[in-house]
Amino acid sequence: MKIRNLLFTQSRLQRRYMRLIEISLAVPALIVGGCLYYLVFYMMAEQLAIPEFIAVVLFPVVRKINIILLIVLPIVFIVLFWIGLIVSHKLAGPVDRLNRELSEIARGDHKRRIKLRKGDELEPAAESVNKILDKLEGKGN
Amino acid sequence: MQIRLRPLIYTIIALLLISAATALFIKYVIKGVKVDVVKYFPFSEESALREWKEKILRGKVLYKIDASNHERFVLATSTGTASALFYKIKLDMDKRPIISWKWNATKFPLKNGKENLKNAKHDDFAARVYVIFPSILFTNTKAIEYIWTEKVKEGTISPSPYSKNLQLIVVESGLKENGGWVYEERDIYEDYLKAFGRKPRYKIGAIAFMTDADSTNSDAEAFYDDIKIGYKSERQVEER
Repeated sequence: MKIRNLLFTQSRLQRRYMRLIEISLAVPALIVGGCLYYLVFYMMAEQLAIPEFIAVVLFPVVRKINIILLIVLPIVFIVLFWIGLIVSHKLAGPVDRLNRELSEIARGDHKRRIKLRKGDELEPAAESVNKILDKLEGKGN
Repeated sequence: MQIRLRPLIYTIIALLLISAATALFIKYVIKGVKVDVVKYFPFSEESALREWKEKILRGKVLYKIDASNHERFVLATSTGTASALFYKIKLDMDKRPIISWKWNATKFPLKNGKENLKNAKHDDFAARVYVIFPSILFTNTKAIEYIWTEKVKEGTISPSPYSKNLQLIVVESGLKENGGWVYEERDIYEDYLKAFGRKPRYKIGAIAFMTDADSTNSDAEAFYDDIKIGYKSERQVEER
């Protein structure tokens, strides 16, 4: 699976980030959505007031909305999963790479230089490490 | 002065017997119970319906104060419509609430075939009085509907075709021979137990009454008067 290999590094860090991102997206969305769902129907029920009117008018609407939610919610969760995967990969990928490269250098491969994607958050840190290595090898100023 | 003891003893015994007989007569013969009225709607003024809110389901039912023989009452006329008059009132079920009213159904909605309380197409009644038990979850809101049917036997209890949370209790059936008013007095706690089979969890939150003929697209007419809601007096509760 190319995409899986590309996006899912299988590191604990990415899993942790993913969990955090998905919880921080899903929990507020569910709370706000649930509150809105309840509030809208509660206000409609208050307006109708007579339980029979609520049963005649509101219950069919609630049933329809519930069916729509049953279809839409899994899609929303799949989208949330993908967002979590992409964002966690962006965060954990460079940290993973940096760790791997530093381990290689620590093992004695002093010629090695750390290469991160342009725009990665840890790019300045990688450049600093490269400069230190250059200095140690006598290439730097 | 010589005191005649015998007549005195006889008088005391007679008084005691009369008192006991009166007490037994009140307890077993007079059906009405003593009620501490919380709210009374005599409908004696033209503006009497202002404190009721109209809730419309399908078109407006004509509710107006009418008069006959110096008596005022509510006349409800439905022409294929359904709307109810609703009044918010909180009552504690533990204090044994009682509702009473006078009503008279004069025109019943036309229903094809045998009248069936579980058939949504037959869910029209010349007169009905609601006692509503609201819940935080609106799907759990319960109601007892005291209905006046054309053919269903008095005393029948059945869930509404729309929800098991709405229980219909048939309190009157058919046109009355003298065409007159009927007085009802209901122990809401007892009726709740009979209708739902368990003790009430929620307080009473509102009462309402409705004449409707929307499901059958026909006409219905009824009169309502003297709606009273209150608590059974403490003495009466202890006696039970």
